[in-house]
Amino acid sequence: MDDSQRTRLRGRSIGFIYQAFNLIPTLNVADNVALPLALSSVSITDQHTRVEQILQAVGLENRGNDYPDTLSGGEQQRVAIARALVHRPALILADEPTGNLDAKSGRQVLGLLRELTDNREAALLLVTHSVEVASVADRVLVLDQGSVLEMSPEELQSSPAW
Amino acid sequence: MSTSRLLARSSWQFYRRHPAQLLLSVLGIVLGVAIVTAVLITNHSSQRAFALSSEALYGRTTHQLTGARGIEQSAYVALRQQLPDIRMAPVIQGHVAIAKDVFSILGLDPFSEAAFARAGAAPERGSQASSDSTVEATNLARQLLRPDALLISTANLNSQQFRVGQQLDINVGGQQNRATLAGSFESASPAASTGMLIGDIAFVQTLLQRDSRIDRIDLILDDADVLRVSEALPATLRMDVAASRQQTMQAMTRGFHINLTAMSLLALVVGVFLIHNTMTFAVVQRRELFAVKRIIGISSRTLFFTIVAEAVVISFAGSVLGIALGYLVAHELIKLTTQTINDLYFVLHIQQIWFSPWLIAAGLFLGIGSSVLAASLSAIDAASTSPVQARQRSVIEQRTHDILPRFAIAGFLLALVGLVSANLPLQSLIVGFAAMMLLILGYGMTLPWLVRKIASWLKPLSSRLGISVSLAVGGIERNISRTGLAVAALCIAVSATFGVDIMIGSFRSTVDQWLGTTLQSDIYVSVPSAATAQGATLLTPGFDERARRIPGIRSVSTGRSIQAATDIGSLDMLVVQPHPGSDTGFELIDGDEDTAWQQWSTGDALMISEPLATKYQRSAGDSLRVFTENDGYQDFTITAVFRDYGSSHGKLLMSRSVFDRFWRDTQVGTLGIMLDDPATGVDTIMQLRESLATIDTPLIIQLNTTIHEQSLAVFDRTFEVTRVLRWLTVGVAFVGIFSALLALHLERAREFAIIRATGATRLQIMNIVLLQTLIMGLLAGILALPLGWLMSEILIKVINVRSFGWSMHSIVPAGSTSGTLLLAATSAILAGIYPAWKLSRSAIASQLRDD
Repeated sequence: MDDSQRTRLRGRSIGFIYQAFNLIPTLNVADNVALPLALSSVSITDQHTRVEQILQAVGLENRGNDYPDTLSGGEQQRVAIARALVHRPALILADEPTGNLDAKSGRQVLGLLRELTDNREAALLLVTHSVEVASVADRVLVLDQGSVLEMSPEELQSSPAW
Repeated sequence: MSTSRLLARSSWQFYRRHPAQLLLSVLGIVLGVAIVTAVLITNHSSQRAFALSSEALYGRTTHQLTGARGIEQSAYVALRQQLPDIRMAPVIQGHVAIAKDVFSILGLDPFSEAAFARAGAAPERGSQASSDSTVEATNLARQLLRPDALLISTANLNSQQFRVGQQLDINVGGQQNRATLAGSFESASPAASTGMLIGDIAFVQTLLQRDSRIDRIDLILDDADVLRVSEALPATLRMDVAASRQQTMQAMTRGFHINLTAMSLLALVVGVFLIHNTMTFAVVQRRELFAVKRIIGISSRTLFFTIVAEAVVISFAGSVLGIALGYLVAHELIKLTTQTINDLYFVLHIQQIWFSPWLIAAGLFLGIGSSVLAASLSAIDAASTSPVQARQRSVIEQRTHDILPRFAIAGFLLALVGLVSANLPLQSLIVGFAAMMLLILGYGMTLPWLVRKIASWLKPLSSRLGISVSLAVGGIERNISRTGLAVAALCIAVSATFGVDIMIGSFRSTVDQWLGTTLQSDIYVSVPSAATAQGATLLTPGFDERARRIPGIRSVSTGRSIQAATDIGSLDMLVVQPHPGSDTGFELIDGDEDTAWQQWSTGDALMISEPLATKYQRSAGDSLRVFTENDGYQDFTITAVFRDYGSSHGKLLMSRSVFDRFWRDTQVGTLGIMLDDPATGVDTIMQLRESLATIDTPLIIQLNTTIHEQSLAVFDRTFEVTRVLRWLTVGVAFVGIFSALLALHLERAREFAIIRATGATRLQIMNIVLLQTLIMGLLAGILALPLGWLMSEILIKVINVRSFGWSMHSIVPAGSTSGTLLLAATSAILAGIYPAWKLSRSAIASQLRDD
């Protein structure tokens, strides 16, 4: 694949969620969420409709005009989740999505992530160091000293090594 | 290893990994220092050349005797007999042309020259040079024995352009003459005498058509002799201290040199912005690194001095390179400056570029000083930020946002002080330039706040225009510590361009109008001069009567230029007999128009030009003492002040009828011819040439339109230096905005990587960056317009008036406003191309990797 093909793939089929949120500080919440749609030249009307829907789904329907630096960590990550899902990708890639959050926010974000990906029938590939986070997955792949081991969430939780 | 060595190694590693950044830092200093150094060298070289040529011309002369129209040689003989113990020497001085080169020529009496030590003949082959001035004078006399002998300076002879024994074709006022190059002469300073010829006074008198007159008598007087000699002088001669004439000539060009220096300092101011940009970025990039160092235990004081030390090292390298570049640029700048001085003031040969240790010291001081100043602000910020805050990227922008309003208020007040100072009723040029610098500095301080305000107003609109516009505008406001400074630097440089454009355009328009008013005749006749416009070669007597008899000629006016000695110094005086029934074409700016001309043509009266009135605070109704040929010093009433752009030194205007009462000179220098039918101009010119076939004096016969065009061409040439400096300033600003944009966008590389990861193509990234730089360029251009206009007002109403004494109307030349906006936008876009390209190609994964 050349660069334009990879870019199209990312824009249409993949959503990214980062540990450090990586929201655009110069855009407000609604514009941050709308970014994938705007880059794909979706009409303004459609953008507004879909952004409203996803913000409602993540519980931030009243924060559309606010800027990222006015949000808490949990709220920022929810915006990032909204941005990752707004264009209905087939695959979500999440890198330590709860890594910068406190326990309570982390659980909220994790629950939201699971619910939304299930509703949209998207695959979620989540990277984490936390057993608790990994346990919400359907399948767990463990990278252990260069080897990839598959476990079930129950096996992971009961394994003494973790 | 000591802490300082470790820190130095850390700094070196940083710049080693960011060579482009180091290059930009150095480049900004190089350019700023180069321009200032080039102008300092140019000014110093021309002033030094003038001083040396004065030494070569005047030697040990302490006083000089002059007359209203030269001195009859019989008066010299009488004086010599009356004062046999006084050392005196007759001198004739002028300019001649050999091929295309203009030479100064001195006519000396070899037997009187011994004491004056102006020049000694180079020793003949086989003999030794002598330190005895009597022997030198004897050598000089021997070499000038041939009636047509001339000596040339050793420097010219050694340049192999000439050889001893060569026959020289000498052009004097269009007439060809022959002379023999008998040898060379030496003076104390070869550079001073380059471009000079010496001949026996009798031969030079013939060459320059002085009849039985000499130009002056040089004297060497002790204090006790001054009174004795002045009492022995006839009323037709006056005595001056030799230095005063040189000071007068030097004062002519002072305004020109100061203007040149001011333009170069403007370039340095822009350069300082550039240095501040690059030094700040180098600090900001390492904020987290500095935070780690502070946490480890390095004090804020040590950190401050580390950053300042970096600035010193970088600026030392940049200053040394800048001085070297300035030396090279000076070679070209000197050519332009020499041309301007020759056009406007007097003939000057700058043969040697003077490069003294103090010039190097000045360059180093300016480069290092301004860099340390610029870096200190960043260093203070870095040193005073707590380690915790230093790790938060948003802190610097928040602090910038907080101080911007205070900065803007301080800037506004500073600009106000500048405007008030400019309007104070003072004569000082330095105060005028200081006021303009305060205005520029103060306005510049308000710009970041203005840019942020405008960006915040544009944000709601931008969000409706698409994601690219939204990101572009948002980025300007969010990163105001970068964008504000970049816009300010470009704005100041572009405003200088706009302001100087208005000043030059206004000046040109005013001169154009003035030429239209003054050149009333249809045809002008004069004799070509080998020297500059200041030369005054005369028409053959009776020529004006011959011209009047040619059919189709309605009337003839005459003009005569002389040097008049007055109580305020030696001045150009134009003696005019206007066309019957018409005024002279001079616009009066002071004096009663109804009575001024009447009094001027009949009473003991004259008019003075505007520069004279401004410099010496004279006005209509005042009087002026002028040294006349017949009656010595006489008082003349100033009936009016007239507008004149022909000379910045000032000019007197006297009616021919008044002149004839006080001088015995009946000659004319120029004729103005009015035709019955102006359309017959070309035919009449041919008739004039044919009718002069019996007169062997070549003439310049031109239509007034030709003179008009040539005058404007001289004007355009005069401002070539200013235009060159202006473009150099824009070049410095371009480098500044380039480095600022590069810094800004590289800092935001992570942000752009997120956008790329989300689905933006490379082209979309480039569009966002270029759009942002275009908006910044347009903002800089729009904000440059009011500052540029204010600068032009100060240049026109304060600087020009105090430098040259000229007032003029103010206009904005067509296309200047749009040209300014285009320049700003284009500079920004060009500066943004590389950062846009680089960002669009940066690796997404590596940018998103967390620390």
